[in-house]
Amino acid sequence: MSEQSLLSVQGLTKHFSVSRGIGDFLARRSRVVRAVDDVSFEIPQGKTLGLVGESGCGKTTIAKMVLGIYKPSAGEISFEGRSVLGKLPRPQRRVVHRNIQVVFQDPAASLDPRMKVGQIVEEPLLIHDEGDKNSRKESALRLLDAVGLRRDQYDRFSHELSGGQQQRVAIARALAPRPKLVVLDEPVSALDMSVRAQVLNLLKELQSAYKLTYLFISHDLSVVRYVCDRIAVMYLGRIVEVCDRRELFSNPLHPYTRALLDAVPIPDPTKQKQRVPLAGSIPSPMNLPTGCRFHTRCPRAMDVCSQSEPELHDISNGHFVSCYLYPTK
Amino acid sequence: MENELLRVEDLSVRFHLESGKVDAVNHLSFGVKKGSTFGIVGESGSGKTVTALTVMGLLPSPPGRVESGKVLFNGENLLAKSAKEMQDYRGKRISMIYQDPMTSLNPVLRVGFQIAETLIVHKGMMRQEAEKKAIELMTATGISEAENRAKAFPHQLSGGMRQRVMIAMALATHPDLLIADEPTTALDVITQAQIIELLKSLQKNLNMSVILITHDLGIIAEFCHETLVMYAGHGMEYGSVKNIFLEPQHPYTKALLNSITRIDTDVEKLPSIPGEIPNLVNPPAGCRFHPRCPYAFEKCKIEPPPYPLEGGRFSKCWLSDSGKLGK
Amino acid sequence: MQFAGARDFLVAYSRNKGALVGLLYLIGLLLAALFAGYIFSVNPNTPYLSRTLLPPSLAYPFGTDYLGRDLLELIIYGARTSLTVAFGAGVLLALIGTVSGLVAGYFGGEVDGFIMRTADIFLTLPTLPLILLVAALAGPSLVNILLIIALTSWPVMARIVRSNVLAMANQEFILVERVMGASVKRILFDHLLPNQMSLILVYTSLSIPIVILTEAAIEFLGLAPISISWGFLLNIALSYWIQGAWWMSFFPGFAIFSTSLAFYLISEGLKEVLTPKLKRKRESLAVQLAGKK
Repeated sequence: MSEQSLLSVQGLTKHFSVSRGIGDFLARRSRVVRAVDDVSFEIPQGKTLGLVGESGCGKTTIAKMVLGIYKPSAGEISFEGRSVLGKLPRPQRRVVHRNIQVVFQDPAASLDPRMKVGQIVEEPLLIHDEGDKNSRKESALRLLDAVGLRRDQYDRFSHELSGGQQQRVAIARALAPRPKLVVLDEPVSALDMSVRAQVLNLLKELQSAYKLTYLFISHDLSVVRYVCDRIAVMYLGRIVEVCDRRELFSNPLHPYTRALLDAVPIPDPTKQKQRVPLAGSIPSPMNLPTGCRFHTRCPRAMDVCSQSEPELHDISNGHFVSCYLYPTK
Repeated sequence: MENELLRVEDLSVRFHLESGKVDAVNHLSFGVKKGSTFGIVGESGSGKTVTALTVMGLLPSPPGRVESGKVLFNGENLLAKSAKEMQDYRGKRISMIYQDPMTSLNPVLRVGFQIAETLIVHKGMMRQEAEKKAIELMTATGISEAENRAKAFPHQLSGGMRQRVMIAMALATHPDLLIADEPTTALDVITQAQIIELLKSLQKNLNMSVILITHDLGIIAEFCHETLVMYAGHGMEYGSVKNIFLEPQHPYTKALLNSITRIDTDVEKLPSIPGEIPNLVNPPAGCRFHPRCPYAFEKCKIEPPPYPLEGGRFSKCWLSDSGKLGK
Repeated sequence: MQFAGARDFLVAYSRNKGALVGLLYLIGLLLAALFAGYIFSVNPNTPYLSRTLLPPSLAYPFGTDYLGRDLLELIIYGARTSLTVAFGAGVLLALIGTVSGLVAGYFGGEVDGFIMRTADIFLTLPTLPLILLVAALAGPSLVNILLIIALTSWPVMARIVRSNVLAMANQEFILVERVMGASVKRILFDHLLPNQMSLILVYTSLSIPIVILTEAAIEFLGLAPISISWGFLLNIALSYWIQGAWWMSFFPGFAIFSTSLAFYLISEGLKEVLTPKLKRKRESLAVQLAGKK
């Protein structure tokens, strides 16, 4: 664990047990959804790590564990070198609640429909008992400026705003306690195309202005290419590849990463290629394939792939892959 | 035109809501050739879904009303047909697939039966024969072990499978026209690619016309021959996919193409379109894009640009010569 | 639904004519019951044996009973009983039901189990026999009746609030509160509760007709007789029906009926204004189509 990583996650695991029916009970079988298995990564201060993958890969579950919404089944999460799990003493809890914030996918659902914009943005300050009514209002107005909203939106109800504006309110709220880490869970996926660039640019500006660190979750690789410094690709609860952004798009190693990149349609009629998309669909996390979780769909699967799970290891210069095609040195 | 399967002419659709009137589609005209793929690109409020529903005759009629225009299918105006007459077209000659297969399929009926039902109703087949054909169709849409899968209920299948079932249902009667409204938006990237490839091959093999409605420009570039770009209820630009992407004429098209994130290249700073999509209850006067347009001038704020009726390349903008551009 | 203020709300509410009538009736009845002492004689119980069993007339619009008491006065005074029980039990069942539902829905697990099992127990308590028991032990009183009705009615409210809270607790805006470090108290009372208010108001006003009917039944059956109450008037009126004094049972009965109806109409009005209805759903579909695609 390096000194400068703001967030460090080690061996993070989350299993959900699902209610058993009579059949399971009689067969003494427990139904477990292995949503996340042994995931480790670090984010240095000021950088953006992207977590990409399709549905069920575990990226949102990881986000919720980092945010304290789920308790991990195993593993460690450290912020600024100190663990954030378990029963923390009050001062440490406050540090976590101020420094780690979130922006969710659905802007309407992340704002209380009964609250006005000003109240929403001020609430974190109220929770942490900061300043008085006037200073809080001042801070809120300045935050509205920072996210590009007009000051007169302060008195509007959240449902009176458009999706893009609502998301800006959510961002302003996330910035109110002056956090160091912001978890962004598909922040532009629910927004219209013509508004996405605005919000992405805003997030980038705010990152450099406020020296923020981002954990950016998305299924959209083109968005991730624009925003992230380092990217981790996930499949069925495990990280299959992690590397710097340039590396991922110029030299993807894992067959799943390649399939994923291949599958994205390119908005340029001159760049169309003959495609054979990956066959099959994602197996159920309750019924994981043996060995490498991807081997059932992998075009280059070998015998060993069905026997044991490959480990994530460094191929070169911080480019990690978990695949038997790339043996350890 | 001889070659045209569908022609929408001067279509205007209005919604009468408690909050006011919404002109969801304004004087829209376009043509879909036989055996070709036609894309309609637009964001929320663009009117693309309302257009599709109107063509299918499924516009919810108390709030919505067709104010003017024709929908000519093989020369016959569908809007002039009675509900009973439309039943003959819908599901038989024109089919539609939707974004969310979960809510489009009946949760208490087995999927095989739902496909068979289309055949029983529209082709008058007997049940056994229809169920056999249903299995064939499921195999044709790439569902493995179709015989077993036909007995499944929708919730037992994955999103991609359900979409394939929807496609099988829609193609059961070999329609002349398939309307696909955001068919892959709810699917994962790889499943989306599978479905698009499936639609491509089916379209070629059946020589069917397809109208693909989406907000994803990548899919348009991949799949369509011609494209209509809609914004706030207006058709802003029309042309072949090559023309639209390589030489966009309308400021909205240009701005949109510049502002989307790319997977194939690094972008230093993404130019964004300022402002928001207008509220259709109170849209901007003149050209509805003018508040966000970098080229807007006085005329744009007062008068909406002309509505081209004829086919061919156009850009609904005072700065371009719509209708006079070559195809 | 958000309203700019009380005025906005009343305008929207008044669109439903039935609901408006119900509200006006209730206000009228409330005022009459409150100021009964000024409008009518101070003690309606005073017998006037000279004017017993008179049919309705100008002097006595509802007639007089076997003791010569003015039935109109009795009914207005009786409204005090019914309205006290209605509002009292209503508020009480709303309070208990809401708090239980909030806590059960938010915390889940064992807390939820405990509260729901307790609710089940109260749900199975039979109201009328219970009243009889309490009346026998502690004497008939308005407060007892009120309490017992509330105690047997809160479980349904708790269940409704709980299921709404269960759904809402997983919504992003609540998750954000947890991430920000908001206290449980803040989450429950500043966020979850206000978003349930529509539901609570509608359901409470919907339960009041049942409360009124139950209370009337209790007095009619003589389980816990309260001297001036509509139910008890009905009880007395039975014996005089044969003598042809129809007004003695008609007017108390009609009072019970119309007051229940008024509350029901109010609840419908609230429901229409506070929650989307079928007509609104179709409109919102159209808005979606026009606005979303």
